[in-house]
Amino acid sequence: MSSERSTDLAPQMKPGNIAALPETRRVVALRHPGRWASAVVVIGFLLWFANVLVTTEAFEWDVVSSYLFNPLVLNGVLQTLEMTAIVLVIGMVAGTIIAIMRLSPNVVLHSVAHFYQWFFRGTPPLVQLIFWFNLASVFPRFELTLFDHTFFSISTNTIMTPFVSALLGLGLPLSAYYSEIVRAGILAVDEGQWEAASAYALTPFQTLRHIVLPQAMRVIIPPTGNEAIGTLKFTSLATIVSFTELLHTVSTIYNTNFQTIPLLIVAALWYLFLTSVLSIGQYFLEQRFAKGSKRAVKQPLISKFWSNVLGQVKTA
Amino acid sequence: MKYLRKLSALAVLAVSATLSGCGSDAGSVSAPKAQAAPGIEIPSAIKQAGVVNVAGYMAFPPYRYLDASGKPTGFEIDLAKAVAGRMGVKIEFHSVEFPAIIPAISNGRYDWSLGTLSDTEERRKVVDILDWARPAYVVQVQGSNPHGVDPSHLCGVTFGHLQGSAQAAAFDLLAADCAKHGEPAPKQILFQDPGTQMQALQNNRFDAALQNPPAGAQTQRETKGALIVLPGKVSTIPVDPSGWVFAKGNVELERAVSQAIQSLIQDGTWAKILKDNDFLDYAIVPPTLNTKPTTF
Repeated sequence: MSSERSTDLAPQMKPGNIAALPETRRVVALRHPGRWASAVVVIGFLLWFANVLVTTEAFEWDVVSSYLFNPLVLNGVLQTLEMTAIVLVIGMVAGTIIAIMRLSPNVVLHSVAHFYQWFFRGTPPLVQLIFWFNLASVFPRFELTLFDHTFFSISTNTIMTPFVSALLGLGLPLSAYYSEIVRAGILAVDEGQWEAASAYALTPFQTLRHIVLPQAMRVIIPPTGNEAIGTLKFTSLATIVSFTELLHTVSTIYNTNFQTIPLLIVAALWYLFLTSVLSIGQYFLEQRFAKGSKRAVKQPLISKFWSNVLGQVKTA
Repeated sequence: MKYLRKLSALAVLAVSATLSGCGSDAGSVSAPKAQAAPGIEIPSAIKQAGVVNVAGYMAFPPYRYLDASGKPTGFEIDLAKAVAGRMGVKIEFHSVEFPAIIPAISNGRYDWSLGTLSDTEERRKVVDILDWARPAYVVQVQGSNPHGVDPSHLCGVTFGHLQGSAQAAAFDLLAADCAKHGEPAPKQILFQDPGTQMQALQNNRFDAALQNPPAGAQTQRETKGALIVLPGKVSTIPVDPSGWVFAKGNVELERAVSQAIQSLIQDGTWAKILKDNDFLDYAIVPPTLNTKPTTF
């Protein structure tokens, strides 16, 4: 019996007997014991971590949930979003202009742009925020006087509200950083593109607008996503000038009731949520500018989930 | 998107309304709204505007903090509302971070600042301070007082205080006193806001915090006894008078506020607010200006 079975199962299955393999071999999927083992370890760790999160009383999830949609917190979220959006617009528009100025052959434009970058990248945003907020200490009023006639005169403090101070204090440094991103994007476009465009008699501006910037966008967008997320979180610096963004609101609450950890979790959850929304936006933007590129944009898990949901809704 | 913008605009309106709306109501104090009580001279600019802009770090219960709806609350807020009531003007409160207060008062962004800022010689160089409080120091520790801190022997203890606070300044005096008597030096860690400070105390990151009595009592209530105030006051540290901050030389407004307080003292309103909040023992009545009696 035993000898019969061994011939049945074919001696060729034994290791080291490769030469004896017949033409028709059984196909066995490549095994990955290492992958399985590591997945089990990691999943086990995740379960343990989830258990810790849920069972640790000090997180006080009931307090977290009671403050998650508190009107003050929601207002903080809106203020943060609003500030992020405007700061990004300022940073991106001004940054693009500065980048183009820096690449200009005009010595004056080029040097001014360089100086701007040097100054706004070199000073801490916190210092700039406090400076803009207290601009009235240096210039008490804004006035326009021509031939002894004052056209307008307005107190600096009226202009430099906490909101405006925060916009400048966060937007100007962002534009300085962003200009380098744009410049990198423009430099990444092959010089031949400029030559080809000028062969078609396009003006430098047309070349920039229709040929170079669209191609540069592919390089520009990923770091822009970084900057957007960074800006979202940097808005919390504006608390120093009394701007009531998310962290400010949350700290006002925990300084009163001393539920510090649960309220910081509330802020963290909101920041995570907003960051996720921004990453989804980044994916769609990348997809748009990847048209004509061979390198596909890999869809992040969260936006995959999101577009699946949208797809379900559409088909339903 | 449009909806979102509208919503955010509404929310912004709502907040500015809550922050400013409280000005129209002078609390429990009945006072003429359109004009000042007799004997009070209001600076013409404020009279014209009909409103005083008052700053304060609004995260310091029970003095001043934002209630659940975001409205400034607290007994110092009540005092300020009563003063504005006597002056016959509206009051608008602005929540300002501690380090931003003094520059914002100096350059006239706000008319005056709440906050029991210690009246120190350094501060008097840049602002005027109308002193109305001189709270003693008490000692806040964890509920079980695990380090056995004794308010009468504070040398060698590790403290946690807010940056720039009266307590941080008091610590320097304590350290000097310990050094003079050859006792072990106390240590100090500095924090940005009361929430993180008290969290760190609960985490055993330091042994004790000097506190002023109402804030200590409030912390004990809010933490349900996880943090307590030790019985007994600290007698070894001298306390600076502290109070409201005005731009250097803003005599007109200082006079108006002093006269309004004078009027509130005379009819007992001032003392009542202080007494209801267990603060009468720590009040300077009548308030002094830059530690000297006022001449208004």
